[in-house]
Amino acid sequence: MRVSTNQIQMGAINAMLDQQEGLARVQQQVATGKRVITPADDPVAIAQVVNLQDSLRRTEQFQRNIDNAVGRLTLEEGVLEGVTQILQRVRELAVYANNATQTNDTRSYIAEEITQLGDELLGQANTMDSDGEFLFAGSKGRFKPFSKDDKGNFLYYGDDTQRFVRVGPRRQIAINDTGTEVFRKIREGNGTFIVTESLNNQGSGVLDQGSSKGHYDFGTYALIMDQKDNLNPNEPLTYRVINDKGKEIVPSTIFSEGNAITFEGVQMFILGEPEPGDYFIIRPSQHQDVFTTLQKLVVALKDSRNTAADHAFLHNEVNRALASVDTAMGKVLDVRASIGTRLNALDSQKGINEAFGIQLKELISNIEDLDFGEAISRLNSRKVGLEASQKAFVKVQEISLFNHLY
Amino acid sequence: MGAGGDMLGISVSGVQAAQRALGTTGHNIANANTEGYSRQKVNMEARPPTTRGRGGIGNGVVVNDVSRVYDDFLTGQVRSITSLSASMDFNHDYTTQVDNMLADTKAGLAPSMQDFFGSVNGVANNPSSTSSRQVMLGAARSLIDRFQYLDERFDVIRIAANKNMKTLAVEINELASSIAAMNHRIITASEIGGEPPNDLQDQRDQLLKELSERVGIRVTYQSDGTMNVYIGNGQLLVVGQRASKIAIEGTPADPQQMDIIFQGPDSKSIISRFVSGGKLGGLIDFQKTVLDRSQNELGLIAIGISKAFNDQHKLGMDIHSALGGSFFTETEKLSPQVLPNMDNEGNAIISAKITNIDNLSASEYKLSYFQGDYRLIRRDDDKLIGEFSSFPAEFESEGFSLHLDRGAMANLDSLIIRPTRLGAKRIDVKVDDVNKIAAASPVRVEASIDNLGTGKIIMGDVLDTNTPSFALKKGAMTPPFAIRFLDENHFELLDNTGMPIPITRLALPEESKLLQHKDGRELYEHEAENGDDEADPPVVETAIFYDRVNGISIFPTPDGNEPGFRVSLVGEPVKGDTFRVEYNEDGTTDNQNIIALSRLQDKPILANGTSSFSDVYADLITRIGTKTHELEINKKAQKLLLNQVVAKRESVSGVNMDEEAANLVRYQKLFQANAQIIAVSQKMLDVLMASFR
Repeated sequence: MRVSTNQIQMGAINAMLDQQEGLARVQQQVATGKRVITPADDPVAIAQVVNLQDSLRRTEQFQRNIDNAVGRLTLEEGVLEGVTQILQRVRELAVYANNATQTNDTRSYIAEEITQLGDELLGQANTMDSDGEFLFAGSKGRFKPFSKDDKGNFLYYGDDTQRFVRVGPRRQIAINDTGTEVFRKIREGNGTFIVTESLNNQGSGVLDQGSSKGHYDFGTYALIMDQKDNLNPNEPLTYRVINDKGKEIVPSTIFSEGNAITFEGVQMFILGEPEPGDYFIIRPSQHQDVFTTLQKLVVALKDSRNTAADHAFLHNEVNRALASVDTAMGKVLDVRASIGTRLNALDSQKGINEAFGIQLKELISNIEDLDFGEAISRLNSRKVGLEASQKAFVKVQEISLFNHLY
Repeated sequence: MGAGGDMLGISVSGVQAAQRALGTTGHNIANANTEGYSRQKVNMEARPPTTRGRGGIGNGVVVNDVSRVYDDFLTGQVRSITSLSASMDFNHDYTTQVDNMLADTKAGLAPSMQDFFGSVNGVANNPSSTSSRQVMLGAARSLIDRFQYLDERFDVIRIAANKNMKTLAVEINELASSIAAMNHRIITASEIGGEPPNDLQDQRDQLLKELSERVGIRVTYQSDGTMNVYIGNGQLLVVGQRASKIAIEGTPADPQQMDIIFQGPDSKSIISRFVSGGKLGGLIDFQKTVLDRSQNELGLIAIGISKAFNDQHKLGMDIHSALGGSFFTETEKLSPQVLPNMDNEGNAIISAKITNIDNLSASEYKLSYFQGDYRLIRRDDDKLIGEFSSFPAEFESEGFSLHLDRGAMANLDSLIIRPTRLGAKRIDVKVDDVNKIAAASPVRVEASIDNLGTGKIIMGDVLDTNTPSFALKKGAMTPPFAIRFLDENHFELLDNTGMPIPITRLALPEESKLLQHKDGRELYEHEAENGDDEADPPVVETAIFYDRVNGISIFPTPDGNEPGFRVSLVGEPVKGDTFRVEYNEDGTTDNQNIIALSRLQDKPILANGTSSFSDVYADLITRIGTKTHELEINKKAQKLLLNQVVAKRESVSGVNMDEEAANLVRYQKLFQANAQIIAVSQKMLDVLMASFR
């Protein structure tokens, strides 16, 4: 084919321009370290990268949420450890106070210490985090959850709403426990029912809180001590049980100290020597907050005790308080176990997120990052190509018939 | 010159021809780099011989003409491929701008959207922290800035494109008149010289090439040597020595959209739809397929975010225990663009409202009216969406409705509706106070601390805060429901005075009837007496059945009372247990609503519930990326094709210096030889003269 001089030159120039364009592109790729620079380079890849980066950012956000949750739960766990220690000390003191060797004076010292422990406990229940948010106030974190009114009642200003944070695409974890759950939802007695004595009891009957046996129907019952002929001291002591409508549930039965008394799902024991006419009430366990429990204990310890009946009443009070403190400790331990479980879950979720994040980064890198080895070799070949086309241009320029004329 | 066989005459003709040839060679060399130049060739011919007897005696050479070496087909191909190539090139230039803008990891939408949702999560971690709320508000503003920045870029590109169209029209008009002038010069030159005006023709070809670079044209040759140029669908831009003009004007339907108007000698016509090729064609294609659509899609994302976010935000409660308001501009304020045609004769003011974002798309629509009949057509695919005769008209499948605010349309009036065009422009952050971020749920549930059973009350989703439950006053709920168990299987709903709320049922459900028989309780105040089951009169009761095994969802109540939220009960409550459902007054560290807001990030909300915001954005990027990629490939292919055709044309018409050098030698030799003949004949003459002496 005939070739025009212009064409030869244009061809050579175009070749150089092409090589330069290619070189510039490789250069840009090497400089940025990216294979895909604009979406047009690889539209599908860019869309993938946009989505993957979205996932990556979300995963990183989950990690931040986890760090935040771990911080809060660790703080709560620390507080609850303190709460456990306080309750343990209260328990020791209560057992100690129950000892027959205690006098009214020594009991009042113990009461003093328990009062202080109670204040400390209240302080723990009103703990704030670094943002000034109360830990145990539910969703009313800006309000101090526990306080005592002038009548000595403990009031709760928080609510029962737990807060959750997202720690994975389909996983939420609670990062607090409400004051209700930790300090207020503590059932009196054995957790199902509670046995109390009449304030007018004359005997020294001491109660064991017993346990539920079979189906307890949440009824209220009275156990009444009796003696057929109360003038004859040899006449055996009997008891009968009636329900809240006056109906007799257990007919008159001879009482024997320490023997199990069983009826309607209730199993209880009476130690000591109740007097005829003494009576005991069995009712469903209600929730009682731990502060009230402590306060009741303090009141019981402070009163002077002189008669056998007084002492029986004291032992009953202390026993009930011990049962409640045990339940409270169990509750706190449950919550702590749950925190532990949540911390473990957060830890494993963090691992999962981390692995997912690495996977995402790898995917993104595979899609958009440059294979430097390959790119450098391309860079070299482009360079060689450009140099060659430049040389070719110069050489071709030299050749002209005009050089040989004349 | 003299008689036949005249040696001097012959050699002089040879010298002259050689001179002419040398001149032409020189001309070729001189124009070796002139664009559009076709090499010229001297066509020599032997002069007619002087006939004598049985033979003739040669009379030397004559230069017949100087012609250009030229292939009409190739020149036409160069022209048309130049046109296509320029179209692709220009389209690509513009599309690349959009492409780079959208995918830019710093300037694109994706990073600010991720930042924004990240900040929402920050508030979820610390709902009452002022600083995390400030970060969220800041991120929201950045997101809006990004929307507006991108939208503005689209506008800037549109303005630039429109301006470019106008410049191109001026250039096209100038080229057209130059071609007409060239036609004139060619006719004149042909008349005077009688020889083909090679250089003028080359120049005219060059002008045509430049014209075709700007707009696709068709060309026909006339017998008088002139050329006619057509554009559009057969409009004569140049007829012989006369040129027409084109103009760029805003369309009557939309002043921002440009029409190409052909101004013929006696008529005007709109040829926008028929123009293709060249830079002008590239621009039109860019506007239609990339610019408008992308801006609409960006608007769709903005509308989607504002709608979804606002809807959820209003279901929450802020730090002052007030119900959440609009977080972003309300969708009503991001209302669709409605552009009445400037030629409309009616005085109708029509507005459009977005009715649902699931079906809303980035399409554009045209509403036209003729004799009581309104027709709505989707412009993307010319599909008839609806025919109707009165307003308002809702188009469920398209996600918007049309309303006649006042006036009436006249026959043949039309308007354009762009539901999403203004979305990105108008979206703004409406919350100005960090305390107004509604992070908390407005409803709180509580089990009474005195409960004996193990029943649990669980807060479900808040669905609607525009119900009577929230209506009485801000910050309170009426009634604050209480739930009281009558026995293990039945409960009552109490209002705020402690009175049971009567539940009215139209017909007695079968299962309830059975239940009543089973436990023998008289739960219903009324029993159907007339024995006609079909016509059971309404039954009023207060007890509601509780499923101890599976728990139940309390709302809506059996008689259909919908408080706008869901609450469920599970576990085993016992008689007398109570639960409360109340306004979440002071529940400022609750994060249920902000969690719901953070979930919007990956919730498929748009496109019939198939795409999340980032999906739509990724789609947009992919579409533009694919388009750019496609243009890039086509552009390269066209370029290659162009190079080939140009090479072919060059191979026919281009100047080759070596060839010219050879010609130089050849014609020089011709000259020298002929001059020698003159010398010889002079010598011969001298000899002759000497013999007379």
